[in-house]
Amino acid sequence: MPDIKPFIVTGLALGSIYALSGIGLVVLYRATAVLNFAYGAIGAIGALVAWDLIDGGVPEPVAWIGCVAVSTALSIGYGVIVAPLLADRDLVTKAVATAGYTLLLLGFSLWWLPDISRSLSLPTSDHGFRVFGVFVAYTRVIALGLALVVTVGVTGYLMRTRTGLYMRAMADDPEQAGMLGIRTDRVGAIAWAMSGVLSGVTGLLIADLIRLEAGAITFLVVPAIAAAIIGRLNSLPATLVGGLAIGLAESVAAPFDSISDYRGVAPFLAALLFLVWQGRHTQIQIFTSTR
Amino acid sequence: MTATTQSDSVVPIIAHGRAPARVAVAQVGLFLLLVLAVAWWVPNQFGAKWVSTWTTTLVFAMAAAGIGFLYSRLGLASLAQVALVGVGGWVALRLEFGTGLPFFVIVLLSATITAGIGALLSLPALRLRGLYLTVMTLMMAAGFDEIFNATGFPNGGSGFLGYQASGELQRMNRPSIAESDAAYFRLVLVVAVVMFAFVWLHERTKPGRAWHLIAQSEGAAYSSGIDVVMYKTWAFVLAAFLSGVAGAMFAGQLGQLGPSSFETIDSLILFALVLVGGAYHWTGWLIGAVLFKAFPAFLDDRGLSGDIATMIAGAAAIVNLIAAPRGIVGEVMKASAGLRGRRRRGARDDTGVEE
Repeated sequence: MPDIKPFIVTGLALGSIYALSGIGLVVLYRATAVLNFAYGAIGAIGALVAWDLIDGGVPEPVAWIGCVAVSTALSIGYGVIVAPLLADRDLVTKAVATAGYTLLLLGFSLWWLPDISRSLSLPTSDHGFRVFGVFVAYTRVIALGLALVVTVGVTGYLMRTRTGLYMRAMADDPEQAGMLGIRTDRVGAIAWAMSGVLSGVTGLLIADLIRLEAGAITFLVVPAIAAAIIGRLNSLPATLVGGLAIGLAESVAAPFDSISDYRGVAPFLAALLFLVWQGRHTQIQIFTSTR
Repeated sequence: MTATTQSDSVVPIIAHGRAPARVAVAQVGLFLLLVLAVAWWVPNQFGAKWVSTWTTTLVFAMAAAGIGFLYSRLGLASLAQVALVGVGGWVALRLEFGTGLPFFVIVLLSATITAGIGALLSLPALRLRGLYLTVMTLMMAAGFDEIFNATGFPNGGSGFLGYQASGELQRMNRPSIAESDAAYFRLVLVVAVVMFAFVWLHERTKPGRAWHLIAQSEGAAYSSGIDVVMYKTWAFVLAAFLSGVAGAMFAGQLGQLGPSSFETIDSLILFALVLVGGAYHWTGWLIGAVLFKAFPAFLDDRGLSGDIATMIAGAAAIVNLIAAPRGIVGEVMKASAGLRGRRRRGARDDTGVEE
């Protein structure tokens, strides 16, 4: 049996990233009914902008702010320009349109900065501490801490603030929410902004912890979606747990030779098993409304 | 996506008072003539590189057909059809080196196995609402991407995976009737026509009617005794079967396959391009495949990056979803129907008949 302790540390950090992204997806889905496949691509462009700025001699903190700003702008831009035009369409159409946005953004980033090896290292990765003889860089701690804080913080925001209340109302029934005087366009834009900020932050973390590669960051949306599925596209704590579990499973499989190469299938398997388990009593789900 | 799923082209035929059956015979005859013309013309007209490009285009037209009919008939978006082409290719190569069965048996077997795998993996999602299938197929595409990178494609090695990093690499044999590139192009053309006809046959018979009702309202279909999950699974199995055939034909074309042909993004791009071409008509599926394989080759000939094609695909898909859900083909049909309508109205005005 190989020593799996270092892989647990890696897995928790990886899982935190999945969880953070999953929460970014769920918050947006609840408020706007859009499952945003472009979430990863938005973060990827942010991270590449940060790399480009640092490469051009801009101080690091400014570059980080630039990353988050660009990601947020890309998210809000889609949410304000494209999403309203598809507001009365079904869930599949809304999701599929974001797949188009993914291609647009990924095509752009590959064309802008061809996929060669780049790296972006946060200063917190140079320092750390030891637990059970395993070195833990601060960036990993930040990732996990951020995942926990965001889960609690966003849950509190949705439950305690007026905008949060509006978001929950829109999640239940956007038309009625609109009729009751909620500015659904404005609340929707806030959700797109929150999601954009999260994607920018996760983009930076991924660039440091995994790698800075547009394609890789773009498709990290896949485990994030798996985490969101485990949260039934609704529950933030369940999304957090799902993300952490997938990250751990993927990472702990690494030292075992027989399954190591296949660990990337973990998100799909986790989501599939969850659906099978969840649907064990369901014969069929029939929906008459769009939500 | 309720009443609009009916074909626009039906209306003028009835208005002219012609018997639809005779029109269909004429249409089929014209279509087959066109196929013959393409079969003769393309290998004579183009060089080796472009004959190969057009062959690949036809291969992926079969996968595009799966995407198109799932989306237009059932509102299901499958983002894994290129990955399933990879599965079909993998299985075909494995069977070729493992069993040495005749080519067409391998094609059928690998398509059937691909359909089985696709159905097994999508069944849990098919019982839920449509968004779950979209999501699960995206994850399926990413999962197969990982698996292909881990296993490689069989090339004559030993063991279950049949992959060897070095040694004598084997190639898949083409059938004796289609050894040359030109003949293989014609073979793929025939297979693609048969597959399109297979889809058409489904749509004209019982499953087509069931799918139509399910698309109108799952609840209504369920209460009128249609096994909704079974028919949805059937549709997905058919789409996966098409991808499986495409994969086996692709393996025959190239002899060997690699993971880089079946990346997650390729499944997304082909899906987007079927929307752009027009998911609601078979010509749109064909246009989708042309945009998927021939257009990047065209750009490449002019020294332009394929990433530009990716960007265009994404942007065009969004525009289509918003403004023209029926794609290029739908717009052309609308324009020609509008012209015809105006001409008819003009003729009636001459005879003094009021609208």
